[in-house]
Amino acid sequence: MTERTVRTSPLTSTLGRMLVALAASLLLGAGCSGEEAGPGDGPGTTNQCLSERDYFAKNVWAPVLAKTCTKCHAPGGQADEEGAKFTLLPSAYPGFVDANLAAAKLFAKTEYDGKSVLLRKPLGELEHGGEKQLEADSAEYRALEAFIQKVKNNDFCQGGSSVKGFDDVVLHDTLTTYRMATLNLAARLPNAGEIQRILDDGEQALEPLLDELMKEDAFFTRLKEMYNDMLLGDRYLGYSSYALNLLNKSHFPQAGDAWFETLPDAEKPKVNTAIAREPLELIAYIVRNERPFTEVLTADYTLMNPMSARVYNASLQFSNPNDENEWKAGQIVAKGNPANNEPADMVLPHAGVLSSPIFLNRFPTTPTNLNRHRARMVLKFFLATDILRIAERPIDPTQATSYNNPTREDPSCNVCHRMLDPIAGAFMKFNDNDQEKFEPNKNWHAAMFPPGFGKEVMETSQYGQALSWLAERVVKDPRFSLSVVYTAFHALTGEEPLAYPDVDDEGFEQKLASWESQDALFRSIGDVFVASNYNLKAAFKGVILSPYFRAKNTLGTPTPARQIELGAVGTGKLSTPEVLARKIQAVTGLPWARTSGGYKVHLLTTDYRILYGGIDSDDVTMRLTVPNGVMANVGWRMANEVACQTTAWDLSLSKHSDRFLFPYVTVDDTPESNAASIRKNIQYLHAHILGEALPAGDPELERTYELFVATLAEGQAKLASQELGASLSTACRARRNPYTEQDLPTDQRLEQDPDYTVRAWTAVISYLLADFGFLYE
Amino acid sequence: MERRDFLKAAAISGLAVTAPLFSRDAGAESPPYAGPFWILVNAGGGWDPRFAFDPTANPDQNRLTSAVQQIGNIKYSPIPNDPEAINLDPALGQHLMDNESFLTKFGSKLCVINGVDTSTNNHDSGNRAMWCGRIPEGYPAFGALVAAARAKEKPMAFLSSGGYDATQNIVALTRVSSAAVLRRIAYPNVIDPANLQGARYHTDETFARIAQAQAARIAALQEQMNLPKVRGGMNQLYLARLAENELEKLQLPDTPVTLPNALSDLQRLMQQAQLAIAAFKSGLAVAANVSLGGFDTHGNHDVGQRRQLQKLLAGVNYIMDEAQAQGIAAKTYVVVCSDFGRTPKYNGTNASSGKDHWPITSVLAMGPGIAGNRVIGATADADQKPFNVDPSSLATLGNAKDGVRIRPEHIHRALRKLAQIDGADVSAQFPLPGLDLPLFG
Repeated sequence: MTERTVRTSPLTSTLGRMLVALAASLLLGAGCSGEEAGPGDGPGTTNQCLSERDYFAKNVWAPVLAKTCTKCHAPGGQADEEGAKFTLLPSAYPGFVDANLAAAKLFAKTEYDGKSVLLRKPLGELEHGGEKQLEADSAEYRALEAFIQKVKNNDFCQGGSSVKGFDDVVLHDTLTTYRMATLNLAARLPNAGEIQRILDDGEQALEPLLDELMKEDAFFTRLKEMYNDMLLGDRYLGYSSYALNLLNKSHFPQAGDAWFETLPDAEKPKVNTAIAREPLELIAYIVRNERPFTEVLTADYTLMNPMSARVYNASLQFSNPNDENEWKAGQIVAKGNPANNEPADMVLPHAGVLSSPIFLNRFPTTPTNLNRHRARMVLKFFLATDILRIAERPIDPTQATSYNNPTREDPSCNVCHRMLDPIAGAFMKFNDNDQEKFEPNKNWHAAMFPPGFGKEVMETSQYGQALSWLAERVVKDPRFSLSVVYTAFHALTGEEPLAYPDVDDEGFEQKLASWESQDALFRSIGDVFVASNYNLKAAFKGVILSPYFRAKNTLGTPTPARQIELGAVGTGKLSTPEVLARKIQAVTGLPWARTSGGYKVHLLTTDYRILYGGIDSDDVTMRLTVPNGVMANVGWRMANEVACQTTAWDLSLSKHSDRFLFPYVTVDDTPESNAASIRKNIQYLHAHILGEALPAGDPELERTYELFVATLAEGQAKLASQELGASLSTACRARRNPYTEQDLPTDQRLEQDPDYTVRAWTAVISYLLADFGFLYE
Repeated sequence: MERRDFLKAAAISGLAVTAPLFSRDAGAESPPYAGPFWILVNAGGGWDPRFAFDPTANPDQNRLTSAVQQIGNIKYSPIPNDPEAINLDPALGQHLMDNESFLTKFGSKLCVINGVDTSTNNHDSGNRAMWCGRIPEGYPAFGALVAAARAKEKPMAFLSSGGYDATQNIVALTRVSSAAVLRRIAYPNVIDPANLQGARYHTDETFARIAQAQAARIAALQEQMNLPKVRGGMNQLYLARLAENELEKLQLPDTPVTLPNALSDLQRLMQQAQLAIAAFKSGLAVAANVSLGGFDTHGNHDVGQRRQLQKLLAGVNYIMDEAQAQGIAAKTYVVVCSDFGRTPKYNGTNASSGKDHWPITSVLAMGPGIAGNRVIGATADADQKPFNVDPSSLATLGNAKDGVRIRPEHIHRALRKLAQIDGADVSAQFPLPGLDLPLFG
């Protein structure tokens, strides 16, 4: 007899049962509401006691400086070009509020004939290049006067803030929040012990649980997925030698005929994956060992397994030279050419992911691009700065022909190149055509802005370790921590950080309030991240605990204005194909998969990946966040196929505690014979599949019950009329153990459905799997 | 909260509310969309019009042309289809197309707009400007706009395989990968899509009941939800499901077009177009972005640019032929753009030198109502700077102070007019500056 093997489901069943218990307590009025209000100072109210920063942002920057002054005083603007000392950063620069406040305060305090320069210049006095910009009796001018007076008197409210709180926002309870986190980050549901801790300790349990969650292997799979969305190195998993083909065979002979090309075809993917995923493994290593995340740029090592170590000429010792899962930190060694005055063994001057051969190839350069593309990516990924947005105003590049060296001399060019080119210079030691090829003797281009960072110019003595020099400075820049928070926020919510609103936008005040709330949160999470010694997990926790991840609803009906302010708050992210695939398995116990090469592969991450809005890291690099008609059909097909493969199987398990979906019913239970158990199981399913703790009698439970009853009635009528037979469709039968692929003993099979209950339950499972609460996070 | 208030707040927030909530019953179907259809071809990376239909024999700018040629009113650079010159197997020449062949076949239908000033030299901005009409972010691609205005309820209203495809939530974007997978999901309740009469997961009656219960549940949840983002997400799902049964109408090609491996990028473009045309014919789509990259020839320009242009023209040729074969050519527009152009001069003196970014570019267009055999605008032979045009006659003007410099907003004002969506509400949400120029006749 074939041994009956199942993957047990006590963890999932426990969560469902606990949520059912929670729902019962709600119904009885026992215990708390299960909902917690967020911190803040009132439902959408503004505390008018403003800090210096908030006063400036609200009353000076937005209505006066942004509207009137930045057109000339922005970097590269006319005033800037003419040598004006008053420079204002546009809102595309992270930290622009602080920088502009500092500039405004400096000029507010500078007086000429007893009157602030900040008041005299806009009137056209003191040879203001822009001549008269404001009338003395204008609201804008009065706003400047008031600001200057406040600066003089230091008349700001310590700790005061215009940032609106979230008191009117109802957050998901601790258990639901943790459930969302486990499904997103660890591909599972909370286990019994975790649930008990939450019941015992409430909200206090959440952070320690998240800390432990982020030690699991599944978290690192998710982490690598998140960072691949940025670094896109998985492009090189496209075929089994893609990543190896990138490498220069003189520097890395083992990548070619010396070794890799001699391997059997079946072995090549392991090597290819090790090379392609090297930057992601470095990130995982840093986070797993809770090393400062600054090492993503400053690490003087990278991660190698036995295969990649061989390719990279690294002298690392491994316990098992065939174990592709054994990773060690080491340094890449390139074989130099003595004819070019290169040492025989050149240790790569590592700078985290920046020096990774995969990063250098994925973000390539050319003899005329000269690393500017890479510099743009450094700004975007690690300094939260989109250089293209800074330069998105129309320019007349044809005028560049008027300059000998446009990128340095033409204001329409150097506005970006002044920032971009010094960073580009830090990549100077890599070949312009052969991306990852390290050339220690290569020089930089004198016509460009010299290598450096910001206003600091790199000394030529540092050129040998130019990337490391750059990395040390980038991670000290306040924008680095902000960029980490942005990445965590995008990965967990699917949203981009809000852009600073245009002062002419409809609803500007509300959009500004929304931006201020988010900006304040990001800065505070960034501070916590820095205080944690740059532990990436601190940034993840900050986002998870925020209303942007866990808001459930509002306490009352918000005004239309408040609706705008709350526009970015709350869940409602369409699950990525990867997250949804894992969620299906976590909830039903079985993957939605097909067999390929002896392995089960998730359909959502293979056949349906692009169709369901995913990326291939090559041509398609942006995920779809809004479903279309095709995606809707993928959702339905998933719901039907998964319901078909799981319902009879789950019901066939004799031990109810082994079941993922039907712990409270048997196939014999009908509304006539055991309505209570059916209702209880439906209540359980809402909790288990959707995370909804609904009390008995809830209209949604009734709706599901009615679906079950109506389907049963339809089926029984069709059975009676012999329109349908008792046999289940072949695909939906429990005939084989889906884990072992072995036939079940005859007495354990479930192939007949004489009462139509199996098919009625299949309808219920389809219904719940197709639900917003399942497809969205 | 009143629904009207919610919609207003949501719209201001930029949320995905693209239709009045629950304006139609779930499962209700609109009639098939019968055209016109738009295929928007993106030459990714910045092409060189000097090698195509804004030619010059100036050797500083074009080392492959000693004398400009002309067919009808359209001048061209007579660069022959010679696979070996572009490092391809000679047998592949049959899959490529040179300027002369292209003009011979399509010149009478082709409108060329030269001297278009994108006002930018960076890829993202140029791509955006050429496909939505302005440089700053926040505007939908033309394909999204026309799809939203014409038939946003269709399940594949706006297909995109690349290029600028921002939707600003006015229509859902659809990406497709393979026809086989599409066939499977077109029938989500049929166990084996190869046997449409075969077993179902649920009876049709049950499946309809599930869908109805789902729609009712979303409506109920939405009623209780005050957070615009969550409510918007529910609305997205509801809207996406409105057309779920319509995919059954998709008449997919029996076999995808295939080319030798060396032309895999061209094959991809052709397959994208093939699926798009199938979706058009089935009444399920309005517009499709298709894309061919490889034009960013900072190095080895004479080989790389030439090769990609000849692939591009072959791709457009395929689109026109396939539209004809499927009986929708008379209702199909093809517009070809690129991020920008390439510099007048090479960046080096050797054979492998390249050309860098140049803001002046061209646009190609064909379709019903577009006056063909026509070239609008021009660039100076000496420095490739654009000439202005008279806003009425479109005659090229010598004095830079007179007339209008053609910019992306002019192209898009004209496209909107051609598509008869210039008065649509959705167009009004995204106004464009500038004059109306009669670019397409």
